[in-house]
Amino acid sequence: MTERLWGILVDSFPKILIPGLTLTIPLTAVSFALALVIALAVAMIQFANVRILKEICRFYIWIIRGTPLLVQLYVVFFGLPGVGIMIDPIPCAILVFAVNEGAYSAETIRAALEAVPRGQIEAGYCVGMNYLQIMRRIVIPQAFRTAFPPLSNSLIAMVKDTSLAANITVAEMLMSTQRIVARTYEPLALYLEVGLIYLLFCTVLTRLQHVGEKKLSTYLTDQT
Amino acid sequence: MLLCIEHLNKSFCGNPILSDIAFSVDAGDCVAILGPSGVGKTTLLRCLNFLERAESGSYTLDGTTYDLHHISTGEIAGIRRKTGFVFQEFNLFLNKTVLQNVTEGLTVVRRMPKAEAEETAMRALARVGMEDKKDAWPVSLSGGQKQRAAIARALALSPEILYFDEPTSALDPALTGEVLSVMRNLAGEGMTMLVVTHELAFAREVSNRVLFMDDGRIAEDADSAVFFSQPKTDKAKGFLQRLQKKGENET
Repeated sequence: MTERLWGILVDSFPKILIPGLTLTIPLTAVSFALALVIALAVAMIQFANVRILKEICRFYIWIIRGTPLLVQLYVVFFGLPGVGIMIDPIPCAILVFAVNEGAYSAETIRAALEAVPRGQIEAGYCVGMNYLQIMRRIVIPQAFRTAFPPLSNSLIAMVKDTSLAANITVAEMLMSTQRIVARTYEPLALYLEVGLIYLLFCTVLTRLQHVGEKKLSTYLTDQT
Repeated sequence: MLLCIEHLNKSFCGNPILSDIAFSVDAGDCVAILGPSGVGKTTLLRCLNFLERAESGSYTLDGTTYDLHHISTGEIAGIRRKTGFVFQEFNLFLNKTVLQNVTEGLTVVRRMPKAEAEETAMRALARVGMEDKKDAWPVSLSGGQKQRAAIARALALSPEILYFDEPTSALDPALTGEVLSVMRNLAGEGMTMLVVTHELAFAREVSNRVLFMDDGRIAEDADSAVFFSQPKTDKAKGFLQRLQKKGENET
């Protein structure tokens, strides 16, 4: 490797990493947190079979899962100003990522809620608990354990999907890299470098998933 | 009279399951509900705790009469506060330890302080011989231990009547004894119990009354001694003979 290339890589590392820490990570964290709130609400409405709301939830999931994330970003960022709705790039990215991921995670959480044996709900009623108490104390904690691995998948996928925000002028890691490439003409090395930083972030999340899973599974282990 | 049921009717998709059920239970009674599979024993018990909704009928508990069909959520909660239910499949809360399973109703529903709830729970666990398993997770227990923990969960709420839905049917034959002996003790202590069971020996020795069900109706309502020595209907005679023969073959 030439000294020049090495110099570019070292020089660019903080320039890529910093937008990663200040944009990619917060963008992911905020979007995913909002997505979980949406997903839990949508999943619970379907689980409880609330009539009209349930149809609205199915419609939402149908639209979001049936259209590309990039198209959704374009519609909101470039399209909505046409009808007078202007949203800044970062809030726009958060909105689209949260609404998009909410639809997918809603299905994950619904499946997990349905996997909790029905008998425990009946037992909850028989000790006098009401529906919300049973959901909060018995069903959701167990469903969360079941949903945790697929939700971790989604979170890891979202870290990488935030790179799409570069298309709506958010200067996150990929866009920062593109700028350096435009200046230095070293696409192979620099795109590999940004790929490695994404891998680093996701490796940390994978580790956290293992720790979290272990913690959540204590009640399923045979030890007393 | 503690509990009185009149004109209870229930059907699934137009097929009548229970027709004009009527019976009463006195405080301290241990009543066994017997009958062939599929005659509606479990459905009857589930209607009594509103896990299934009957189409019609009246339900009198402790002097207050309710309509089994037109009843508010609040009234159902009130009834459930006075009754306990033990399931065939135990239905312990898997994310709670044995002790937490028992305290759950006390702290969440009765708003009892934690320390007091744990004391009450430990007394209930002692009655079923499960004190030493208080910190165990349900998945680590044997079927018999699970069922005894489930009985403690119901007992801790000091119900006026306990409903048992085939409490030993999901158990290994070797484990039914420990559950039955707990139930025998409870009956001995004067707990009012309504037990759907296939355990003839339990019905004969522990229960003081038998409701024999056939085809969605109560075909016989008699003292246990009378039912086992002189069953009135042919169906009951046939039922007893079949089960006794099966019992002999097994021993």
